[in-house]
Amino acid sequence: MADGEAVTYAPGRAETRMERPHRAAPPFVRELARYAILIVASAIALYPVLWLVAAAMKTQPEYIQNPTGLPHSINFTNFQTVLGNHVLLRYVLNSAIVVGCAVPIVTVTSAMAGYSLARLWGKAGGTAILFLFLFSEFVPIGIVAIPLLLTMQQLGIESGKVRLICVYSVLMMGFAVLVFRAFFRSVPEELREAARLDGCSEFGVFWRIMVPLARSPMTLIAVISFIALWNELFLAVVLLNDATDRTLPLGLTELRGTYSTDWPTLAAALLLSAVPTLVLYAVFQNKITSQLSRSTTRD
Amino acid sequence: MTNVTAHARAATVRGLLRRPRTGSVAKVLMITPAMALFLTFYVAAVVFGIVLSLYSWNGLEPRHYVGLANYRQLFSDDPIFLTNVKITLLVVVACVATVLPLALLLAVCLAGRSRILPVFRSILFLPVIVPLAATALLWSEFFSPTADGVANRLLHVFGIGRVAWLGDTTAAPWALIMVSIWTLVGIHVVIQLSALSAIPTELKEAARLETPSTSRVFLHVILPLLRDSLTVSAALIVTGTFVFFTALAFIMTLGGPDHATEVLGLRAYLDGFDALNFGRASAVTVITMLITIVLVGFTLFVGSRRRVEY
Repeated sequence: MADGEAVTYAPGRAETRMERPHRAAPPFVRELARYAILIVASAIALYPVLWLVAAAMKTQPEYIQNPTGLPHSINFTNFQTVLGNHVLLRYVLNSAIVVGCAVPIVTVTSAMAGYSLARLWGKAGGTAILFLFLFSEFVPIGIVAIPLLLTMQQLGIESGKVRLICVYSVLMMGFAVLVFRAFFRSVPEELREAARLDGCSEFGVFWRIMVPLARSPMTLIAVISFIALWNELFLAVVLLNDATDRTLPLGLTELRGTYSTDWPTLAAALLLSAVPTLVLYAVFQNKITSQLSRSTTRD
Repeated sequence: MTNVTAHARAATVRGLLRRPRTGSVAKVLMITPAMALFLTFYVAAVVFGIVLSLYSWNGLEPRHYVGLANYRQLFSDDPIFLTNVKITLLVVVACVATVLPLALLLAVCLAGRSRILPVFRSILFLPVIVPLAATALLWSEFFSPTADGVANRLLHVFGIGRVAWLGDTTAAPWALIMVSIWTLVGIHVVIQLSALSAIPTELKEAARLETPSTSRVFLHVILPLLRDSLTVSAALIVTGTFVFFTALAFIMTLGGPDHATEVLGLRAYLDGFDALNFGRASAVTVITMLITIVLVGFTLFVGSRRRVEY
């Protein structure tokens, strides 16, 4: 996945300027319909988010009077209230710890597994193991949440944070192994052979040659996992039994009780909780969307 | 001469690569960390769930073996369980039936050269990134049952009366399905869009020479080529809704009103944490797994029939 290749989305790129005159200009009506559909769909996608932003800037009386319109003034009092809430900050810290541990674990272990499946296991063995990993895509981990809790209890893992780190490491693994296997298959076999001839061990080949080459897919898997895990809710609900271990998404649903009569403040909290993923999405947008679509259509 | 050295080199390479010890040790060691985590925290849970579904257990006292009693109880004297299954199937079918055509339509609209189109694509993808907890709480407020609720105000504009939304047994599942569609469409638009742009331009040009009708080109040339990506999308929607909808219903309605939004995932949760019946919760989980496998298998089967390749 070289940087140049990352831009899969380039419709019509192959068409050269020479071909254009052959094609009749699309009818005016068709273009009108296209933009009408897109504008309506975008409005529906965007409206709830904009409404959330507007609500977060209103005072409570203002919101009751005018829940849908624009705020009177840009004011950040609600955000200050939220940032002054120490309980919420602990939820943020918990999320940071859990996700911060799980993301490197899933990235590194999946990269090793993907490389091993792509180059060291034969075709039959590699495919069989890959299918085992992919089984979790058919029966998602969320479905087995309850048995997972009972397994944790059997294993004697009591700490909520450790439980979540373990499960979150596995949550994105099927997808990650699939992506890494596809990537390492695209790396020329000769690289490995040459390094082996020079006396490099299999591990040496992986750490010194493959990992530096795989920086781009590793970043992507880390980013996509971060977004998915930072937002994960249901497994946290089932697996955590200690209020002090609550992650941010779970904490937000608890805040609903605290601010039940104060929607603007809750709206501010919801917006702040989305900041990390929104920033990551803004930075990696094209890479994320192209990777998501590529790994589903290929292989 | 060079030929000989090349041969020797190749032989050495082959020998090195075939050297059984380092190679097989490395391949096992490198897959071990991922595999160990995967087996312990996924496969073991699946197996343990199947085993526990044969036991009666309240989570505290020693469990005892009851055979298929949990299943028999669910199917014969538990009218709510049938509702759970129906609601789950309704949600899955409704999501697949709306998200797929919608995503395809939007992808077709987005395919093109204009500079503004990527802006629309980003906007349509935005709901995918919004945290699920935020989505659920946002829409809970949106569907506030009072006349001041945003959804009811919108209805008022169109001259329609007040709806209780999440408090109404008929409206609640559809309200949650609408939220699911809002969240899911973006990612499938992107998937279909990338499949659309992967179709070689020459093919479209050739088809256009054959017939001037855009809709016929779409139906007979483009659509068959999208079969794979549509199949993957459908399978992802099926598995996605099982997890996603459960979390959504957990926050927004907790299965209510009167079990109207109690999908299987939520039923398992309530059996475990409310009824403290972990055996039955596991049985519900096993049935959910079987339904997922059947639905995904069916999707892949339909999708792989009469596949075309160019």
